[in-house]
Amino acid sequence: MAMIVDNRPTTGGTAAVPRASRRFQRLRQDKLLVALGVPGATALILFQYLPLLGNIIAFQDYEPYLGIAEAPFVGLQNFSFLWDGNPAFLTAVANTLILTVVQTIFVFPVPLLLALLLNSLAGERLKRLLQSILYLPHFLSWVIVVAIFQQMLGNAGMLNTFLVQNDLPMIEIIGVPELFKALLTSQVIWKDAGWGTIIFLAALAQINQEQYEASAVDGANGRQRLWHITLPSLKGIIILLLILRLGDSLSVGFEQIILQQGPVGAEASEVLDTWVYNYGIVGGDWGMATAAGLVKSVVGVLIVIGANKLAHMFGEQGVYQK
Amino acid sequence: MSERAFGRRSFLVGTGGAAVLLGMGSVSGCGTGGAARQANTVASNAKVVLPAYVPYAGITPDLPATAEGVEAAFRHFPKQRPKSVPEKPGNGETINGMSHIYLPVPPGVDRNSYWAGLNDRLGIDLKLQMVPAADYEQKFATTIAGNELPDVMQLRPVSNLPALLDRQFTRLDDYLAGDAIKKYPNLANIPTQHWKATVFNGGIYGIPIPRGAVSVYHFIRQDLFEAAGVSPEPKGLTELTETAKVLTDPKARRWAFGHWNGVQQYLLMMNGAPNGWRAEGGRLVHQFETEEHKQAIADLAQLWSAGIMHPDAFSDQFPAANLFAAGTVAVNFFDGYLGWNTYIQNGASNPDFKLALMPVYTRDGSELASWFRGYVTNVSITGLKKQSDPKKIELILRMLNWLAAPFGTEEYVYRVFGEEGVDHTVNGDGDPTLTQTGLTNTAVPIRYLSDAPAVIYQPGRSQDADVQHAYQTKVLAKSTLNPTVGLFSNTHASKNTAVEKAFTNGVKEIVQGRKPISTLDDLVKTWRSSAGDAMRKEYEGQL
Amino acid sequence: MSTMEKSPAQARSGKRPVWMERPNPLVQLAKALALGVSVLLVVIPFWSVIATSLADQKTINDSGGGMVLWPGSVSFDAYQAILSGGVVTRAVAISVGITVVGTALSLAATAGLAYWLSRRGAFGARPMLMLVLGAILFSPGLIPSYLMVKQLGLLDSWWSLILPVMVNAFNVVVMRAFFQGLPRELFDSAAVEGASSATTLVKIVLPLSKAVLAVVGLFYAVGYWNAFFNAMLYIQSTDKWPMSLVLRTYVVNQTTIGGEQVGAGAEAMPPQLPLQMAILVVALVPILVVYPFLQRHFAKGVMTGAVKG
Repeated sequence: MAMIVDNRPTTGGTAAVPRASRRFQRLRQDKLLVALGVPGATALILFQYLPLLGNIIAFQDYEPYLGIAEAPFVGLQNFSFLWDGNPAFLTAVANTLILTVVQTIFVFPVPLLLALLLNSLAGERLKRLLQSILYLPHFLSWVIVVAIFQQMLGNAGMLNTFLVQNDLPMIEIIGVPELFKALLTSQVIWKDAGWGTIIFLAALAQINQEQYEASAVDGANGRQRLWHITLPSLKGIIILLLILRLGDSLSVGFEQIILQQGPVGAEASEVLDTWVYNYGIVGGDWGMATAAGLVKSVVGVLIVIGANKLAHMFGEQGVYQK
Repeated sequence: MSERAFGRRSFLVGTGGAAVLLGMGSVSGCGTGGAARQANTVASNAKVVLPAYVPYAGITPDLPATAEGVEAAFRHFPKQRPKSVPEKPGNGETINGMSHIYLPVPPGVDRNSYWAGLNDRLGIDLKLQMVPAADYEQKFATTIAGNELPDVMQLRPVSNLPALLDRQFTRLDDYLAGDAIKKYPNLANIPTQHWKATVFNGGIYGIPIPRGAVSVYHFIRQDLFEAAGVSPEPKGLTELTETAKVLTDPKARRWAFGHWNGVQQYLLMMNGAPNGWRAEGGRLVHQFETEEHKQAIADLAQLWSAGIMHPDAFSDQFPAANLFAAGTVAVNFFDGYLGWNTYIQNGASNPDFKLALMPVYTRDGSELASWFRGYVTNVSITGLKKQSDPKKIELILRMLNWLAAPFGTEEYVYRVFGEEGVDHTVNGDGDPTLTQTGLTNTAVPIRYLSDAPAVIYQPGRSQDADVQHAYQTKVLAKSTLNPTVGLFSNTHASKNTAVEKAFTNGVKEIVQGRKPISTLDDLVKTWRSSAGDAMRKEYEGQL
Repeated sequence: MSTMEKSPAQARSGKRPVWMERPNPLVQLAKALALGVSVLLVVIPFWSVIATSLADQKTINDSGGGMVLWPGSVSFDAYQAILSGGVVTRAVAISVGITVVGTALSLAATAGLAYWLSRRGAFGARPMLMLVLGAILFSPGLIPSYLMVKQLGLLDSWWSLILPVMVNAFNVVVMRAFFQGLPRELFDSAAVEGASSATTLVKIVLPLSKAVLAVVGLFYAVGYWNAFFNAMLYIQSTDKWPMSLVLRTYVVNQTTIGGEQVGAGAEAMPPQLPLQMAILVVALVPILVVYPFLQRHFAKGVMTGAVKG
């Protein structure tokens, strides 16, 4: 019988038993549990980890026709963008960081707020209808989203046509470098806020309704229930998502941005991913593109470890336990 | 996603952009990553004997092709449809091919009578991998990396192309050089200048997909010009500006000009800027480095501030065709010449719609400006994988020969229009028109494996042949050729797209008035140090 | 598991629970306003998408060449063009197959892995969790992934569209978090009753995790439905293409290329914009159909009463 006990001490077993055999014993105990996870683990190792070995080309002057075996090693040459002070690269890093901060502050909470708002509606049917409308934009590709924004807010779009025809001054929104980051942010909200509610709605569904009942009986009002029941129940998933988002700090909407760089120029719009695309991938510089990817991943790992530590300091679980 | 598609989008990137893509060529720069075994040098490439040019004489056009590069024109489809390939190229063999596709993907061969019929005529089971044009870059790279090459495939101007060709593709000199090509008369019908771009490592490595000397047109809505009472041939910058002002009425959502790059290219021609590069006494000067370019940018900034360009003209997602069809913009400068077709169709619902073409005059309006001749020389080149059996190479070449059948031949009719009564119908004048079935079925992208030189022909619109022929004759009277066409620069293949994009971004800021024109000098300096000077050196070594 | 005091039907009935006080009208108004504006911001563009898909070239031209809010004379040309030739319909069937099979396999593999990782102290769980997190942060390159698929002999097979993306590490982590959120008493009582880990998963964990299964299932299904890139790389015969890749040849290429596309004599091409919009609609319909079925699992009160007894 495989015991599944949540609070089993991790350093179980007696000291007299050698480590290896203890481990074997645990494997025997958990064999069914492990077996359940093996198919998924195999897929990950096969399609995520083994191909990662290909990242060796970050240290090579790689050409597809040569292959990894024949491509010459060039040391850290592909990483030189990190220290050679290329102004275009530094601009890209700065823009990426600004966008990450802005979007973490303004984009991340929106689905949560929307989910709480939907959840507070009494009518289940209305709630579902609204939610199925709000999640629709997620299914549009960025090309289409950009086109729709242009149709609505462009300099010759619906809004400005209306203004011009009524002798009012035009409002330039699209194609203005100063507003570009705000534009990107609002597009992300429009496209994905509704979609983002799904995960929170699922978490809300898991809350035991009896808690609300009990607290209402104790005289708690709506706001108190929100603060003392709802949010604490969501805390775990919020922190989890936040940490994973931070781990992905160096990625901010590649396709969305590359489609709209034209009118505003690189200074306002170049981010790390577009920079790597423009200067690495387009020119067939596989080594540099891979090196940049590695750097991003390593930074991501450091951020996740840091954020997770921080979460532990506040007594939260984070992504993984201590 | 990719800006390096071979099609029209790449024109929009800017001059060099298209040249990167299309003017693939010989010599130099087998840069890093394993040198080609046979040197890709000036000396070795100069020794290459290009295929002989034997123009096809079986069909007489209504309006002849000229030495200047004006294409032959046909008012109606020729009644006589001679066979250009007497024997079936194959005997039931299978050939794998790969090319990009611009059209909705056609049904597979077992549900596509056109494709089945094609295979039957070829005597070959042609298996084609089709790749959405925007994704070809990635597919190409993985196909090469996985060593999963099809027998015949469309090539990309990737970095270190000479070394790649040397390793994995067939050198075709024994089959095509000099008179050898006469075994493949339809391939011999491709003019010599197109073959230059197939020379690498001292040999011929591909079949060019040729485009004409006038590969782009400046389209205008003549009906809008007439309604506004202005001449469709404004002479010089002042007249152009005045004309544009008359055509513009923001309240009615009407502007004279559309996408900014089209206007830029028009002004570059008007100012006499080089077509990419210019040879000045053995030294190459790039367009960006010239006073003419600077003047064109200053002029463009003027036009922009005059409010006669569409306010979203700098958008990368500018729906030029839609806006032109709607008359929201009256002029669509510098668009692919096949757009003639598209615009005629888009305008069909509007009885007033009238399409015309605008020539370019010099800035002072005194004479016609020099045309950017052969802006697109080849759409791409087609490579043949290395084969152990030379017979297989000959078989593939016979197939490509069939596919390159010239306009008016029986093979051409089937290749482009399919089976009469199924894929197309024929009107009283003998002009074929694709049916809905034909439109779906004939989308098989064989035209990117091999194609005949273009001609002017618009089914059912005989007068269009005269209009286009006259326009080509007019603009080609004086033209500038890019001296680097057909030359390969590795810096160009690997770096140009990014460097030119950075340059263009800076230009756009100047034009929009966010930066002073003086910053152009800095942009040029950056361009030179990051790629320009290196490309110059690589090209100059080959002249 | 024991009594469900509030049946799902009751929870879905739309009545305010008895313990909830009457809402403040001002707050109600603010909520209504916020939701109303959000809904309009979505509905208007979508309406415009549908209207444009039904518009003819004349209507488009008259409106200045952009999207329209009213189709004028309704035309189904765009839809006809998409559905003619049978390419799209065949591809839809392929996509449905891949999505159904893929989502089922993905859910099974993900739930199994997440369950293993959610049991603290289980053999190998911690190193495996680190591997999963690593998979979120490190992504393999284009070419190595291709070579792996080739090595396994999956080129030109539909499995190449499923197996490489079968397990998404992010989804594993999310599902694990939900599993860990289940009341500990459930596992204790299961253990006391002598249930095996498989039994516990199937009989207790999964039934109580319908919400997260629905969410993760939706994530996977949408992923399979929309994926074109792997198909472009791995599937060689166009006959096996899924819908997303087929539709890509309609939208992306046609918008980028004006002149190059039509060689000669093509007369019957429907106008560009309606075609693009019709493709959006075609691709959206299956998602719209499936969603309500998943949505019911988000209903409140799934956990209610689960722990007692």
